[in-house]
Amino acid sequence: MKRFNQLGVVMLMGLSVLISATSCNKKLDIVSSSLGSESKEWASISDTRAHLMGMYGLMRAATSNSYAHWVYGEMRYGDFTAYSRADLRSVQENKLKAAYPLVKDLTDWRRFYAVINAASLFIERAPQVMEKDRRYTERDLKFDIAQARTIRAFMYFYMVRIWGEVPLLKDSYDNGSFAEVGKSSEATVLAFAEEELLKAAEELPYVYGAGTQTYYGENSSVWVGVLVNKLTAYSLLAHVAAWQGKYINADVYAKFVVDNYTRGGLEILSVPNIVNPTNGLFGPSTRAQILAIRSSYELGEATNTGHIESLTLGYPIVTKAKPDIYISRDTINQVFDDVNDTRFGIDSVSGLVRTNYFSNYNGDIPIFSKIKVIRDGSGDSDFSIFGSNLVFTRLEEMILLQAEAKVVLGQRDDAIKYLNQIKSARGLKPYISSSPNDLLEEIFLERRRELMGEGWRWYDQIRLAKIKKNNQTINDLITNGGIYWPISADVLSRNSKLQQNNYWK
Amino acid sequence: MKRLFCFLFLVPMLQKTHARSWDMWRMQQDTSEISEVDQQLLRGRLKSLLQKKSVKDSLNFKQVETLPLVSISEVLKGQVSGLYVQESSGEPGSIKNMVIRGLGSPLFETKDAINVQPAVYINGVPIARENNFTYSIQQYQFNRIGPATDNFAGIDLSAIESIQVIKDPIELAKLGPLAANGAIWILTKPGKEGKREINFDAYVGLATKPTVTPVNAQYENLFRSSFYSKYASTSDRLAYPGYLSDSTNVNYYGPANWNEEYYKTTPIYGGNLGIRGGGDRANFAFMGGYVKNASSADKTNFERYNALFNVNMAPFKWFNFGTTINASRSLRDRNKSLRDRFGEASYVPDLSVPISPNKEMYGEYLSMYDKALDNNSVNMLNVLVNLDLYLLPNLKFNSSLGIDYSEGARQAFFPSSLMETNNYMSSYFGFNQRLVFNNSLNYNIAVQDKHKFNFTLGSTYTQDLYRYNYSRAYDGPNDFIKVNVVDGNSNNAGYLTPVGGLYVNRWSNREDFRLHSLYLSGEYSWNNKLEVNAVLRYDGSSTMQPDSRWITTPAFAAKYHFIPEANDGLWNHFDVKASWARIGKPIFTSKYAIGPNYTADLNWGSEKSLVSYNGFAVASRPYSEGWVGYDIKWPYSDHAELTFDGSLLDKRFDFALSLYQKKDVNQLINTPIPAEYGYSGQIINGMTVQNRGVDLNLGAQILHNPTALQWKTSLTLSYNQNKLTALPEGRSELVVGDRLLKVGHAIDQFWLYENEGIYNEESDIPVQNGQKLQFDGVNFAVGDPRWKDQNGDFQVNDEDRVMKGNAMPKIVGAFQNQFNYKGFDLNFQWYFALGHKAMNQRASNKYDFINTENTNSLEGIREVFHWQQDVDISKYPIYNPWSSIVAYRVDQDLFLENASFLKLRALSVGYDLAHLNSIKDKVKTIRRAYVYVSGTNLLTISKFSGKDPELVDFNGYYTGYGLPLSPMISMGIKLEL
Repeated sequence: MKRFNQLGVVMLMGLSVLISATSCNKKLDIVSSSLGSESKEWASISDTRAHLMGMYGLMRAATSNSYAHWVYGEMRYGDFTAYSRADLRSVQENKLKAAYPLVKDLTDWRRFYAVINAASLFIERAPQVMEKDRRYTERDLKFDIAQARTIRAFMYFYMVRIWGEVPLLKDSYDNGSFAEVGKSSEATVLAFAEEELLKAAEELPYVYGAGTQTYYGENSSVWVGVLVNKLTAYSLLAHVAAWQGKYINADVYAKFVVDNYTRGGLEILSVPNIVNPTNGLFGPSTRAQILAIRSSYELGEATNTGHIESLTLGYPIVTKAKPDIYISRDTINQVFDDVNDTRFGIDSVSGLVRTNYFSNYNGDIPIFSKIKVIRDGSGDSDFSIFGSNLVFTRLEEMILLQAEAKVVLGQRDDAIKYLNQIKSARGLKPYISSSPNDLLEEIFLERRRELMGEGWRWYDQIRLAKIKKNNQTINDLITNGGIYWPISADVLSRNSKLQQNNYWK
Repeated sequence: MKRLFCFLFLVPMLQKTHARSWDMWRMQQDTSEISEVDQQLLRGRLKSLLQKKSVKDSLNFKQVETLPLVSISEVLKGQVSGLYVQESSGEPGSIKNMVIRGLGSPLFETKDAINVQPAVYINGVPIARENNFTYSIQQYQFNRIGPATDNFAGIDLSAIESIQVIKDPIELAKLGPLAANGAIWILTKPGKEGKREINFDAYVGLATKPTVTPVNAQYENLFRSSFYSKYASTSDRLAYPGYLSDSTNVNYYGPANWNEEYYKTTPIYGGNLGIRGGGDRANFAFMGGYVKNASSADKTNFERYNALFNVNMAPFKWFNFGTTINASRSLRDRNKSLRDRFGEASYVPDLSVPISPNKEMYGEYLSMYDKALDNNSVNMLNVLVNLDLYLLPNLKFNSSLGIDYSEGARQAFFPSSLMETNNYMSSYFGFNQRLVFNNSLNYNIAVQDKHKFNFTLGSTYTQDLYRYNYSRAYDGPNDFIKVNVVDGNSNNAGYLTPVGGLYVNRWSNREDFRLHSLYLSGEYSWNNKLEVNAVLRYDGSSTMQPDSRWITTPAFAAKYHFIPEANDGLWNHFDVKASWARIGKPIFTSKYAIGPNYTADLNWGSEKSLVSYNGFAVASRPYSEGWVGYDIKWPYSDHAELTFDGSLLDKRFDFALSLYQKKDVNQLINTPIPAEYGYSGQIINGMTVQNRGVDLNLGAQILHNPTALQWKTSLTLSYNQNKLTALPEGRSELVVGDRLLKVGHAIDQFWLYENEGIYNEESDIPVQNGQKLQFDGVNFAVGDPRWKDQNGDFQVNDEDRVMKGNAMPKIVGAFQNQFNYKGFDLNFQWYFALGHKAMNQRASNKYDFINTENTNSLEGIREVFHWQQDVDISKYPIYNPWSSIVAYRVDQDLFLENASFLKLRALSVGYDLAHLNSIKDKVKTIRRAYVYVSGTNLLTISKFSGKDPELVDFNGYYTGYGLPLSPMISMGIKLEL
C-alpha cells in the first residue's frame, strides 16, 4: 500500500510538471504589439489607409534621405555653391564617385524601390479589404489604387532621371523569393510609367472629399494638398514625355493641367503667396498642390534634416553660422536681370532689396531663404526643425513646361503667351516676339528664376541641352551617359544582372 | 490573473500532495521530539535552498572586497579565466560589457552587444536586462535612452555570499537558453543558524584627478596651419574658423585651464550593516547599505541604497521554505558631454564655435547647468520564493517563483542657454519585468553504495515584459517650466495639448518574451571515481515561429577522478572532465515570430523618430529592417569542453586547464537580396561563429607557514580566438556597414585600407595607360595617402581593404598576490589584455576636421576635453584634408593601434584588529575587525597613444569619450561581531 502511495505521488508530481508544461504552450502565442501580422492585415479600412500613408511616408524617406531631391536636382552644375562641405562640392563638380557618405548614399536606389514595392503590394492586396470591410467602397479602392499607380510611376520616372536604365518590376513578388532582375531600357520603364499614369489619371479625382463627401472619414480640408490627384497624373505624364523629347505628348498632357487647374483648386500665385512660410506653397497651408510631399510641424513630422532649409539657411534666420550651400551674388545678379522682378530685385519705391528669395544679400554670403518653414512657418530662429513641403511641381512650372513644348512644336505665339503669363505675374516686362533673345532660352531662364531651389535646375539643363545642343559640357555628358549617377557598389553586389553605368565604370 | 494561470494551476495539485505526504510522514513519525539526526538534516536542508553550482570558477572575495567597485562586471574583471569585461568608460554606473569565452556573434552596433552577454542570476533568478528595442527610435546610439544604468550595478558586493562564473557546458545546459552565452551565478548572504552575527563595513575614499596637458587655440591653430599652408585654396582660407583666426581673443587664446574645473578630486564612500541569525528551524539575514561612487571627471557620480532580506524556514521535516528579497535604488549624475546631450535630443545645433578652454568661461558654462535637470534613477527588486517538499527522504519537489523587476526613470531638462536659445526636456519611464516559475522533481537512489543515481525532471516558465514610455519636447516657453504640462481633462478642447506650445514627441513600446522549458537531467556516479551527467531539454520560445517553436537539445558530461581526493602523496586530486552541450539561443525580439510582417517604416538615414504621415498612422513592410520569412529556426550554441584540474603538495598548488570550443550555430543575420525589392536584406538563419580557447587557472601557496609570512599567488589566463565558419546561403563573405564578415576569418577584425605613406609629388602617383591610380573612381592627387592596391586592378576600392587586427584581446588574464603576516595582509592584482587592436577614431576625427566640422555632425563636435593633447600628432602624416577621397578616413590601418595593456589594477594593505588581544578582550564577540587602505587603477603600461587602451567602445573604436579610469584611493573597516 505504502509503495503504491509513493508511486502515486511520483506519478502525480510528474504529471503536474508535464501538464503545467503543455498548458503553457498557449502562453507562447503572443504577437508583438508593434507589428502587423499577415493574418490580421488587409482586413479593414484602417489598414488601407495605413498602407496608403505608408507609401507616401516611404516616398518622403526616399526623397529626403541625404537631401536626395536637392542634391540630385540642384547641385550638379547648379546655381548653388557649397560653402565648406566637400561632399556637396564634389556633387557640384560632378565627381559622383567621391568617397563621402552622402554621395555614396545617393547612389543607392533601394529606398525608391521600397516605395515601388509598397505600391505594388497595395495594388495587389487592397482589393481584399473590400471583401472584408464594407466601409471600404469601390470608390475608395479606385482612388487608392490610382494613387498607388501614380506614386509607383513617379518613382520610376524619378529613378530614370537619376540612373537612366533601371530594373522594371511591375509586381511586388511578396513571397520571399527575390529573383534578380536586369535593367530595362529607359523607354520601356517610362512607357510603363506612362501607361500606369494614364490608367491612374482616369480614376483619380481632382479633389478628395469634395463637398459633402468624405474620404477615409475626413473632408477635403484634411486632404487638400496632401494626396496625388488627377492633375498630378497629367503633370507627371507631361514630364515623362518631355524627358523623352516627346513634346507632342507633353503638350497634350500639360495642356490638360493648364486648362483644368481651377478644378483642382489651383491658381497662379504671387511670389509672397508662394514663399510665405506659414500659408505659402511650401508651408503647412491648405493650399492645393499638384505634387507635394508633406512634413507638417503641427502633426509632428517636422524634422531637423532632409529639408532644403537645413542646407540653405544660415544666421540670422537660424542659429547656424553659415549655410551649407548658397547662391553667389554674381549668379543672383546674372540670373535676376530685371530690377522689377518681385522674386529678387530692387524695390523702386524704397530702394531696398526684395527678400522673397534671398536674405542677407549684402552680407558676405547671401542666404537662399525662399523656402524657410521653421517649424510651422512662424517659428523663431532658435529651433531649427523644418516643416516645409517638398514641392515637386506646381502650376507655374507646368505653364512653363507648356511654353517649352509649344516652342519645340513651333507654336511660338502660344509659347510666348504662356511665358508672359508667368512673367507678368512676377512683375517682369513681357517677352516680345521681336526680342533678340532666344525664346526657348528665355523660357528656361524663367524656369531657372522661378524654380530656383525646387530641384529642377539639373534636369532643365539637360532638356535644354538636348533641344539646343549648345552646352558643350552637358551635351558631352548626355552623349556618354554622364548625366546619370553611378550605381552604388552595394546595389551592384546584390544583383549579378546589374552593371555599373558606362560613364562611371 | 490570466498571467498567473500556470502558477495557479499547480496549486490544487500541490494541496493534494500536501495531504498525502503529510499523512505519510506522520505514519513514519514515532516520536514528537526532533532527534539530533533530524536537526542535522534540517540544517542541511535550509542550506540547500540556495545552492552553489558545482563549478570551480568562483570569485575570491579577498581580492576585491576592499575595492570601491559598483557593479558585478567591475568586480569580476580579471578574476575568473574566460570572462572578459570591457569597461568603455570610467563613468560610475555606466554600462559595461561582459563576454564569456568569446563573441558568439559580431558586434556592429551598440545594440548587438546584448546578444553576446552572459546571463546573471541572483539566487537563481536571471536578471532581466534592458531590451535593446529603444535603439530603433534613436538617431544617435551613444547611450540607450533612459537612465542607461548598468543592470548589474543594483546589488552590493557586501550582500553577496558567492559569485561563480559558469562555463561548464553541462551546468549551462541545466540553466537553459538564457545561459547560452554563459552565466554568472550570484548567491546573496543567506540566513545563518547560530548566534546572531553583525557585520558592519564602511569606507571612504577619493577619486583622484588624471594628469592632462590642456591646450588653447594657439595649439589648434598651429595644428591646422600645417594643412592650410600646404593644401588650402583661397576660398578654404576664407572659411577658416573665426575663433581660431583672431589671436587676440582671450577666450580661446587665453589660458587653457578648463581641466581645473572639469577634473576634481571627489570623495567616495559607502557603508553597510548586516545581521544574520536564527535557529535550526528558521534563520534570517538582513542587510542594508549605501554607496556613493564617483569619477573625478565631469562631476559624475553614482549613489545606491540597497537592502537584502532573507528568511528560511523548515516548519516540518518534509517542508523547507525560503524567501529572499533584494532591492535597491540607484541614482546617477551623468557626464555633460555635448555629444551625449545633443545625441539624446537628436538635434544638432550650430557647432561651429566650441566651448572655450578657459576655466572662467567653462565655469560660466557649467553654471548654466544649475537650471538643468538630469535625474536618473533605477529601482530594482529581485525576489525569490522557494519551497522544497520532501515527498520521501530521497524524493524532493522544488517549486520556486522568482521575480526580477527593474524600472528606470529619467527626467532631463536643459535650459535654453545650453542649446542655442532653445530648451529641451525629456522624460523616460521603462521597466523590465521577469517572472520565473520553476518546478522540479528530484529523485536520488543508491544501489549498493557504488552506484548513485540522481534524476531531475523539471519545468521552467519565464515571462518577460519590457516597456517604455518616452517623450521629449523642445523649445518650451521659458526655463522655469521643466516638465511637460498638459490639460488632462478629456472634455476640454485643449486635451493633452502641451502648455506653452511645446513641440512634444511621444513614443512607447512593449516587448514580450516568454520561454518555457522542460528538462530531464540524470547523474550517475560510480564508486566516487566516475561521474556521468546527461541533460535533455525541450525549450519553447514565444519569439520563435509556431512551427519551429520548440527545440530539443541534449548535453552530456563525464568526469573521471584519476586521483581521488587524498591528503597524502604528491597529488591531492586530479580529475579529467569532458562535456558537450547544445543549448538553444534565445531571440529577444518578437519581430520574427509571425513571419512576414508589417511595421511603420518612415525613417531615413538621419531621421529616426517619425511616426506618422500627415498625422496618420502608417504601415508597410519592414523595408529598412529587412524581410522576415517563414522558415526561421532556433539558433543554438554547441559547447564542448575538456578540463583537467588537480591539486598537489598538500593542496599548495592547484590548477585547472580547460580547452573549449563554443560554436554558435545557425544565427540570424540580415543577408543581402537584390535592392530592387526595397528591402535592406532578408533576415535568415545560417551564420555560425566558432570560438576556441584555453582557460587556465594556477594557484600556489608559496609560503604557507601559518605563524610567519604567507604568500599566495594565482594566475588566470584565457586565450580565445573566434572564427566565422558559415554564412547564410553558403556565402563566403558579407559586408555589413564598415565591417566585412568572411568565412574562415575572425568576426572582430577591422576591414581597412593599408596605408603606405603619402603622395608628395605628382610623379609619385602611379599611372597606367595614361590613367592615374584611382580611389573608387577618383584620381589620387598630391597630398593623398598611398593606399595599397591589393588586387592590382589600378583601382583602390572596397576590394583592396584587408582584414586586420582584432578588437577582442587574444589573451586576458590577471596575476594576483596575497601576502599575510600575522594580522597584516597585502594584496595586489595585475590585470592584462594582449593581442588586440583599437581604431583611433578620435585621431581620425581630429585630423578629418574639414569634413567632420563642416557637415555639422556630432562627429565634429568639440568638447571641452578636446582642448588637450590627447592625440599624438607626431604619428600621422600631413595629408590634404580637403581631398575628396577623405584622406583621414578611419578605415585605414594608419589609425589601427596596439591596444594591449598591463595594469596594476588594485593594491591593498590591511590589518585585522581582532588579532589584538586588547580588542578581543574588550569585545568578546569580535570575529574580525579589518582595517585597510586600497588603491585601484594605479598604473597602466601600454603603447596605445590615446588616454587609456581600456576605454575603447564595444566594437574596438576609441572615441576619446570614455571618462578616465583614474586612480581611486580608499580606506575602510570591516567589522564582524
